[in-house]
Amino acid sequence: MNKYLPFFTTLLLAGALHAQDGKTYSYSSGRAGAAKQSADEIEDIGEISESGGTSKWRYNVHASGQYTSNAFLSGNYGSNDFVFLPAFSVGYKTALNKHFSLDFEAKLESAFFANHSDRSFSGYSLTTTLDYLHKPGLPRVYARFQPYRYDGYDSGELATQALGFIGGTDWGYGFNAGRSVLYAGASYSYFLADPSIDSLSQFRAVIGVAHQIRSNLTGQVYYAYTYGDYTDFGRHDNRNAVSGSLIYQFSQHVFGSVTTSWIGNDSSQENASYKNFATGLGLTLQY
Amino acid sequence: MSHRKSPAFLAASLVTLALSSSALAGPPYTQATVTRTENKVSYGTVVGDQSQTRPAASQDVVKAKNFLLSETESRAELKYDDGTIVRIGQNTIFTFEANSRTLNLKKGTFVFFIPKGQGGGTIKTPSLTAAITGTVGKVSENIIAILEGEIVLKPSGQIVKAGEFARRNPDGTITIGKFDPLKMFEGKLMTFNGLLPGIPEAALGLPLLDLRELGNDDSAQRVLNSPSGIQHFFPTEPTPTPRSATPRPATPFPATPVPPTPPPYTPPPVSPPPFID
Repeated sequence: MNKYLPFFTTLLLAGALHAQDGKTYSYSSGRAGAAKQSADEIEDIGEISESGGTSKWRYNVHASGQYTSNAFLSGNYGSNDFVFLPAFSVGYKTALNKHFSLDFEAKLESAFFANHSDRSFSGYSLTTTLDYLHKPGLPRVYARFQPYRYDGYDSGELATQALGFIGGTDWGYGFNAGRSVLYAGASYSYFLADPSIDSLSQFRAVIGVAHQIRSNLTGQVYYAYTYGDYTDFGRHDNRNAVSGSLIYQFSQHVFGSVTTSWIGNDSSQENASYKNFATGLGLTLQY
Repeated sequence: MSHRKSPAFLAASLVTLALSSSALAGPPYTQATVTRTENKVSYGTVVGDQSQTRPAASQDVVKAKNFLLSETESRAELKYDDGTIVRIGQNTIFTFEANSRTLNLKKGTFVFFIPKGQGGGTIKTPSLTAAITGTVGKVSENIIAILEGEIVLKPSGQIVKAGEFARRNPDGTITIGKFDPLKMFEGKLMTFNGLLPGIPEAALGLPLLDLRELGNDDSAQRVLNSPSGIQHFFPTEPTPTPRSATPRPATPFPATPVPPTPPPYTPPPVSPPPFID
């Protein structure tokens, strides 16, 4: 239980902050004469809530079932399995001023393997992101701090934990009458890990396209390249990932997704090289 | 305090006003084309005191005497010849007036984009009326929120700027305030049939579509493919030589201590038996 203390402390703190903050931006509370927007209105034009007012909470419950051709993440395929991936996160975003915003997210997640249960794990991450956007349409720059911890589900023992320091930039360009977005991003991360052999210096570049097929159906494909240097272990990885997904919005808060991905990892440590194909269905509730 | 104005001043003012009005007046909203409908949207025609409706369809031409009516979970987009775009939400009744370029909301919601330099127009709801030049905004029966440009409320002349909203309260007062910028682009109409012009591409971001997170789903990689994970699950494999001069522990889980091997038994030297004669 102790290992999850930081996570639950964050949740409790988040709940307390939320309770305090509710009166400041809830549209209907404490404003004599203010009319409440109907659910239809909010669905179509969004909530027009008064400033005070520059913050937003979000809650996300996600579950997906996935087929993977390589549960071991070692070698070329050959260890087929089905994985159940539940996750819960709570986030809070606040605008600091015209250009800067701050985002907090606490996430609890697990992976349960049907055939290779010794690979199952659970863990949490606490992410703080400072965003800078000079002007819409220009690249966004961000700095992020991300501690995380994962434990073996069966053994209950620490698998790995780290403090992540990340800096990056990304940029989106809308086209096709605004129904498509071309996206490019790059980031550098350093993870100070325990055990120290997992300490990692990492560079990632991503390019992708998202297209709104219908008002409630969006498709996206991306390619990501990652170079990783395990600084205390003498291991170098080059990883290529291609992924495509369809996201369907069932209602304002319920989303379904179909995702297929391929990853090839070429590592200087022979048994860390792998190829993996995965495909799965996901369901997300987001508030 | 009173001001007395000369007839010449008043005449000059009227001429200036007329010139500025004619300069601002754009082409009348004679007709709009339906560019998209979703679910049940009706095209209505007013004949005398009666109105007739039929299902609306893309490419229908809507004129000032017509109206559009949407039901629950139904939406539509209209495009005018000058580039003005109007998207009506569910349970909405929408009409427009040609010469005064008035977008008229009887009930429900709409969002609008009016290109700059096209003469502007007027937004009319059951409780608010505003003059606009070129702008992007959201409208409900008692709220007008401005995303770009500005509007002038009638008859008060109060200005509502980008990032602000005007709301008619139940007690009849009007509140003008800033709205939450993080919620500025929310609402299905913002992306219905693509983004409204002038809206940043970030607005396309469905809640799930945080593009920054693409390829960032690293948990399995972190646990199973990290050096400690590989060593844990494939312990027979040789460990690469650590780069650092001082090797650090390479095993994440406590290693089972191996009992020290006892030194091989060395029998004591045997002294030769005493010689027996």
